[in-house]
Amino acid sequence: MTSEVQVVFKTNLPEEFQAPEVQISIGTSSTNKELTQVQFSFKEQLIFQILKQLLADNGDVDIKGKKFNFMVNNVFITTSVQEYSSHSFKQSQYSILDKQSIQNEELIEIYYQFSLEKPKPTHSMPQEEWISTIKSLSHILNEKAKTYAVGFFNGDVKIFNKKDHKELLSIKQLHQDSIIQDALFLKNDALDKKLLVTCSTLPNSELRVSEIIERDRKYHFNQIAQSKHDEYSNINDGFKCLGSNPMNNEFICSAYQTNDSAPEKAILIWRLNKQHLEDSSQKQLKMGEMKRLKTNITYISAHQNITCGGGIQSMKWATPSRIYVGCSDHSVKIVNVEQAQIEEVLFTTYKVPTCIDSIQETLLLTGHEDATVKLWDIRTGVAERKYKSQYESHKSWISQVKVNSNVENVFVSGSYDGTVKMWDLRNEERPLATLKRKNEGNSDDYKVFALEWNGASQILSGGSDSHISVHSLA
Amino acid sequence: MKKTALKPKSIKDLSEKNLKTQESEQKPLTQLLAKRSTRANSETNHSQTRETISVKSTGTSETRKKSKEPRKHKYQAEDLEKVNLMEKNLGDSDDSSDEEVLIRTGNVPRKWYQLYDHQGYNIQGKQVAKLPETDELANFIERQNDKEWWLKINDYMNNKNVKLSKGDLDMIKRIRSGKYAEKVDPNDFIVEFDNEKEFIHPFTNNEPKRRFQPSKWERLKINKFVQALKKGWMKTLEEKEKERDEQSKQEEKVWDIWEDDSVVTWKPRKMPKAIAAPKRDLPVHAESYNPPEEYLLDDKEREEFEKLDEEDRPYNYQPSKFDALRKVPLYQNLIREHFERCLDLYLCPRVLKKKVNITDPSQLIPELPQPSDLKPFPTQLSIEYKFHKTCVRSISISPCGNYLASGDEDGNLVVWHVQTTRILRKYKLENKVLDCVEWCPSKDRCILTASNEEFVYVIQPQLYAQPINEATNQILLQAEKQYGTDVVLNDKKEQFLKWQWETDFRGVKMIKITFQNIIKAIVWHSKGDYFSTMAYNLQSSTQVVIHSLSKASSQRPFTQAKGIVQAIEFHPTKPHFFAATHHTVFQYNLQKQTIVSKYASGAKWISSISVHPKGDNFILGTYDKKIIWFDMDMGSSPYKNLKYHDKAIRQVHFSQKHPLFASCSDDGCVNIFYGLVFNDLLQNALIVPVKILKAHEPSKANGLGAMNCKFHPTQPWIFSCGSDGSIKLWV
Repeated sequence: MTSEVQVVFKTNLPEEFQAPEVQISIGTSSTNKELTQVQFSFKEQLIFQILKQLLADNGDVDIKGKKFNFMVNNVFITTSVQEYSSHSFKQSQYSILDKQSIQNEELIEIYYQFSLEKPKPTHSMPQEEWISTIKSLSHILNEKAKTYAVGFFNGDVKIFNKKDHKELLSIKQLHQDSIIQDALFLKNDALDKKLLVTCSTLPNSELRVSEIIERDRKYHFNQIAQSKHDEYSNINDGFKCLGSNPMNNEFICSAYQTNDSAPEKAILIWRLNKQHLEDSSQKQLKMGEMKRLKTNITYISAHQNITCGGGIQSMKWATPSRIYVGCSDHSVKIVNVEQAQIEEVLFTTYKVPTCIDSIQETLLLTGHEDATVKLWDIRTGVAERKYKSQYESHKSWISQVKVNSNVENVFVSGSYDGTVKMWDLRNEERPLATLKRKNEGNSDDYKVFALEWNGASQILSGGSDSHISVHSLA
Repeated sequence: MKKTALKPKSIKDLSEKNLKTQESEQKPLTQLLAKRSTRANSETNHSQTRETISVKSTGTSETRKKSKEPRKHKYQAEDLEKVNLMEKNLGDSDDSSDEEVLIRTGNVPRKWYQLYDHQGYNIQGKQVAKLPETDELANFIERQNDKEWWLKINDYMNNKNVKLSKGDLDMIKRIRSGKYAEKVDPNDFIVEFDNEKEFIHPFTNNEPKRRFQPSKWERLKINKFVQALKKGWMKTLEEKEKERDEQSKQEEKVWDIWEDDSVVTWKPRKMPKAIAAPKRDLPVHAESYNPPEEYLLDDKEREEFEKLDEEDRPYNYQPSKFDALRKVPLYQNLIREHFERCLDLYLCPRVLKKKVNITDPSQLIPELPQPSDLKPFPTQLSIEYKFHKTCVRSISISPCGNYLASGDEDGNLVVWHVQTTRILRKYKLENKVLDCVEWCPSKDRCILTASNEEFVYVIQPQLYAQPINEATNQILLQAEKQYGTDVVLNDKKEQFLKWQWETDFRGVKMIKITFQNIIKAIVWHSKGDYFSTMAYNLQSSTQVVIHSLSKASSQRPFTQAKGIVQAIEFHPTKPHFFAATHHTVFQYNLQKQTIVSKYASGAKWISSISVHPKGDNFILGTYDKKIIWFDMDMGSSPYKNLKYHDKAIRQVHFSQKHPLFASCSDDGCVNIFYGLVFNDLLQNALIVPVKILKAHEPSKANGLGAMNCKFHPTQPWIFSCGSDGSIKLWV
């Protein structure tokens, strides 16, 4: 049965790509369920054709090379026209709006935007060791930064040039015999230094703060501070993750992994400013720790301790007052930094949030060991709290999810199945793209451990294949 | 006196009674007839007659008196025919016309005369005046004065007061006691005939004797009734009514909640129900004297038939054919078969088979909660740990949950980082097969033990915090010192094993304990100082040895071997030790050196044991595919048998944190069960199978599938290892 539906095209694209707001009736195949509610199915091809025509009327805009994605009734349609017309999909996916039921009289708004190009692998740099973490310098705030840091499983840290991906500095055995779990690369305004903060697991679980200095186009590093040995390393627990205050670079936080032994020190807030460092070194002088002073390393203790039970797997300092903590007891805890206590607990249906990221302070993305990524809305009440959407396409443990504030509605996820996938938040059925490495070897053994946006156009990833892979968007 | 009030109906009854008395005097024949009927009634209607009589007693004397007069002339006048006619008319006893009354009322109810002065008419048709009314007071005075007042009654019909004579009273008494009104002397019968005519023939045939004698059959019948009443088989109407009342009372009865159940009221012993003898088989075609051709055996078939053992034959006769039934000879086996049948009947035990009428088979399945309500439990594969090329026999997870140790059949002992699959330590041991790897369960010492055929290694991977690693090293060094002094001081050290201190590839101290036999299992006590080793297939007291790490000593817990021990385990809280032989589990108290209890598994061959972390339950895995759950409080028999595997079970394991347990089997599957032990001791454990993980493909070469499975100490995750050399993490 065919009938006609009124549609209007809308977009956020620049003016030349804006179609006139005219109501157009489109022939659809529909199945009559009830009199008022008719299921319509559009053919994307048809929409695309109509849009082309509309834009052609608009003027001399070249849209030949452009591709669009459509969103109908808040469902983002990711199948490209090509794929669509080639009938590679099952019959059930043939019609776009199978699952949607649209009122007959309604005017349907179709939003369109340029479809993202599939990221292409551009670089692949072989390393000696497995890569545990990649961090670009102040990845959110500073677009002008030129470098990023890479942590390795043997305790090495390397710094790379962002543009040509050349190795600038290699620090051997920064953490002896321990896996570097997480790193922070930030510009500290209080000390006016570029700081590299790293933390490691057992047996040498430490937090180290080093200064990266650029002198005559050569990079040097200088260790400034280290977590107090007897206070933090004696805990039978490894550091798991780091985070920095999004508004004030003075403060960073760190978290222990299992924290059975010391739940009251689960989350530590460190303050990196001159006074704090000086105070710490003063204390050391008083205690007569002359030996350690020789190395010029200040042994610092945490500014603040926050109790958090359950064992911490992942952490994100989202707003100046809030830290989201993914715990091993199958929950996400919202920690208030100012009050140093847990504000709310969000249970994640018996799956450990192995990685966490937040979008605009209210939406929360968590990756889980059962190969799913889930999206949560913190604003909804505790009673009816359930994940908003679940992204299922990976085959194994999710190791990283990363959001880029410059690329709207898009995030990437890395998994132990060796793939990095790019998703649109509005489509939980299919990822936008699956990123594979440039020279694929025995892909079975490859696990993605590290994932980072390099600006808005590049995705850096690394893992157990000891390669840093770079994918470029467009 | 108003006693005379008589209702017409009661009069009728009375007259009936009178009639009987009259007849008894009249003729032996009629008397006998009447007797017969009264006898039958006497027992049953006894009380009823008595009642009626008591009411009507007053009227009797009158009627009796009246009846005397007409009797004479009646009898005189009667001839034989009349007698016969009377017999016929016995049924309707309305012969009141015979009785002469002085007052005629016109047969109308008495109350109709209430308003008149007269109460009827005499024979001349004149009104008969009523007797003067006496009031109650006068009555009372008379009652007080006259001692014989009760003998006086008012004869209404004759309109006069009558005093009962002694004879009347006698009669009333007799009637009341159910006898005939008038005493009859049986010898006193005189049949009066008017012998005016002479009869040529006797006017009756000889009366049989039985006519004159009380009936034997009636007596028997009545005896039966009496017997039944005495025994209570039969009930009189009264009793029946009583019963009914009681029943209705019982229905209203309230249940006594304070009733003492412990006092058992005596109940008569019931004999077992008689069981009918088994029915004989119905005859079949082959037994026919003229069976269809296909039932007859040809030579070849007969040969085969005779080759078979007698018990295996379908039937023990030769089907044969005859032209006619008369040609059939005597059946040879007749006596034998009958004898066998008799043997069957009295020797074979009979069991009453209860047929269960199942309308809805789903009712038989016990109600179990939905697996989805019992989350979390592992459901899917998350990580695969790839290194081993040969069968991985054993895995162990460190108590912190960060490290995984595995041993294969090539002498490789590998320590993995659980979350990243990074290989942190890799040891190459001297011998090939690693049967068991086990972390020390204490978080305060980083020790890994591995059994490598005859050797047991105590290794320091040094993966915990630095101070702990150093402390662990100190323990090993001190143990070395201790061992040295012990050897010098006395040679009490066990002869069958030797402790040696060596260094591993990183230059870290480790201990090598050398045994004489292949060591199959190592288990640690939860405190982390004692560990026990079990040798493979050795019936000797040296099979199981308990070692103390800090004292560097080994001792045999049992002086006598109870059998070949298959699996061992420490109790998580008490100083108890479990040793499972092929069929039985022994629970020893190590402090008191005694056997605490003995559990009969009912299995053929136990393969593994795991004790619940609370210490009240344990499970056994067996090579005959079963998991057996024991509740230690429930005695020596199993609480539940779970059979979900297709092949032998290699290992069972309880989760330390979650109410889960798992089993892995040669069919390559790992089965996850939900096993909740309640704190309430009265409630039995809830066991629900929740998931089958098809973990490892069984190898075609040796038929081994999943070799071992271990739960993560904190997460609802399970690790499994298989003969294909893979280790898998399920989440």
